[in-house]
Amino acid sequence: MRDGKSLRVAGGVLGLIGLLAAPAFIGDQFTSVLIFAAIYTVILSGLNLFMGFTGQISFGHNAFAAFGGYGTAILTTTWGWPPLAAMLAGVGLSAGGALLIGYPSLRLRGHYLAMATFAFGLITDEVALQWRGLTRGSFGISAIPSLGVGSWELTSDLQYYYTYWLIAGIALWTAYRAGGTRFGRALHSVAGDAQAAQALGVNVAGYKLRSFVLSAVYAAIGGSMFAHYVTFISPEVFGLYMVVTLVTMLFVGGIGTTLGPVLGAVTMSLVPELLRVVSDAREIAYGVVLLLILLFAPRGLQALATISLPSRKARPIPAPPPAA
Amino acid sequence: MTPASATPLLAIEALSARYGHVEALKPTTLSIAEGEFVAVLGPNGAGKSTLLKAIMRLIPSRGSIALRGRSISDRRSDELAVQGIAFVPEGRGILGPMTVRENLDLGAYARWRRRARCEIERSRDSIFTLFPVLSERQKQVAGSLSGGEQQILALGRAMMAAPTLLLLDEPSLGLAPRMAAEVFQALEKLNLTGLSILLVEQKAPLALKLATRAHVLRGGRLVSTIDPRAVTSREELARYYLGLVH
Repeated sequence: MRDGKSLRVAGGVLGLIGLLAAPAFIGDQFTSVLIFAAIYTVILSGLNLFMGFTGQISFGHNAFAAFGGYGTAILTTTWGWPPLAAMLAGVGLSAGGALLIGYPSLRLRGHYLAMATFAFGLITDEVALQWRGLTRGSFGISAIPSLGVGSWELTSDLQYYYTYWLIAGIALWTAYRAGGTRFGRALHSVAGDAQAAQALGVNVAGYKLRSFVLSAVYAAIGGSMFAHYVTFISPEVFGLYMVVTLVTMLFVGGIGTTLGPVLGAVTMSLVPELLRVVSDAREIAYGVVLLLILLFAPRGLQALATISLPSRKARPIPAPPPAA
Repeated sequence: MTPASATPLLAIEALSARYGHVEALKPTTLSIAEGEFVAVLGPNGAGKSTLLKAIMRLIPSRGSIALRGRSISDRRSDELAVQGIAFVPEGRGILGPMTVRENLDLGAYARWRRRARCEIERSRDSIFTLFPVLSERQKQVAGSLSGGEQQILALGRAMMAAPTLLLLDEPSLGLAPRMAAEVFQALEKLNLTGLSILLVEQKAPLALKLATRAHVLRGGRLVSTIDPRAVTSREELARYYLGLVH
């Protein structure tokens, strides 16, 4: 059992060293790809809380990322707010939006909740497209300032890389820590058996809402990070593609697992870039890779580690009695 | 255990519940005294589980429910847990991926607001004493326990809330006779500690061994009340089931 844990820790340390050393070996293009992976890791950490830990479905977290992205973009470019304050305002806006949307829609379950959140995402996308006075519609908002504090700001991809991965690490760690607390156990109980959880004293509706709002906060931070890094946003960024990407990444990495968000984000960011070598057949190859992952790791990439290692909590099988 | 005071621990009056157009539980009046062990018997579809869910406010219902004389009709189920009513649902509601210990700790969820951590730890220790199998398997994933062990875990988890009333839905369901007998032994132990129990059960002989009083529910209506000591044969029990004796 201890060997299994040691191997997992060793794997984690190696992964961390690889991530830290990567920019020295992978060049500008892949550094940029991994910066986007860090942004997705932040968003997925929150989505994992809601979909993985709490067992709910959301196809609308692109809307909360849009709140963060547009919040920070509008406040910095139109109103001249400092980036960090604008980011916090965007996060607050997203949390407020999640509270307003979540209160009525979280009464729904399963497919109905999925449809309601999906509709919310589509509406947000449409508003971003049509409310030209605020969002500049399909032209998007450009010249968004770099992220920084006071006179210090991120200027190079390398700075963005380490800063964003630090934020992603904090997002993963906070979500992981939350999972082990009373709050996290309550979320797990809601996912496991909502009726039993309610009878144990867990306010199921309240916890669903808290989880939804918290996940929206992560999504807004990710959206804001995107806006500051790319310095341009438009409605397409937070559209249907983002919904599909988020859900794919979460399932590929391992929904409800600790490292699922980072594994999914990194893998599904790198795969399309690596498949550029097959140029015309890229889309087909991407589909094949996705199918292979889901075929051999149906519970996600993190589950692969637990399959190949001895289970921590496996019950010992008693030896058969000696033959008479 | 016998009733200890005039005000019942739980009093339900004209409690009814429906699923769509079907009235699964017709207006039902019932009470449980402190320390009493009451069984509700009846065939499949009699409305037994509906009765417990209506008491726990897990389904919409009509009528009044009072705990120690104070109305709890407008309370949510999580608030009822805080007030000392524990519910073990049919199917146990065990969280399979969590360990036995984590499941038990979740049982103390309602107490975390009002009790100190050390008191909860003492409760866990006393449950381990009461059910040694849980102590032996505390680090094991709950989903890997046998059916009987899971039922014991469900009981232990409910006890972590330090309840005054335990509502149990078909604890013998899906268990081999020996395991069912063990579960009922555990219930007897709990009742001897002064815990009031309202048990819903299809296996009448098992329930009547422990219950101080039993009611028969049929077609969503209470049709008879049984003094378990007075039932001496299966034929007599059948007469109660058919509502020929009230």
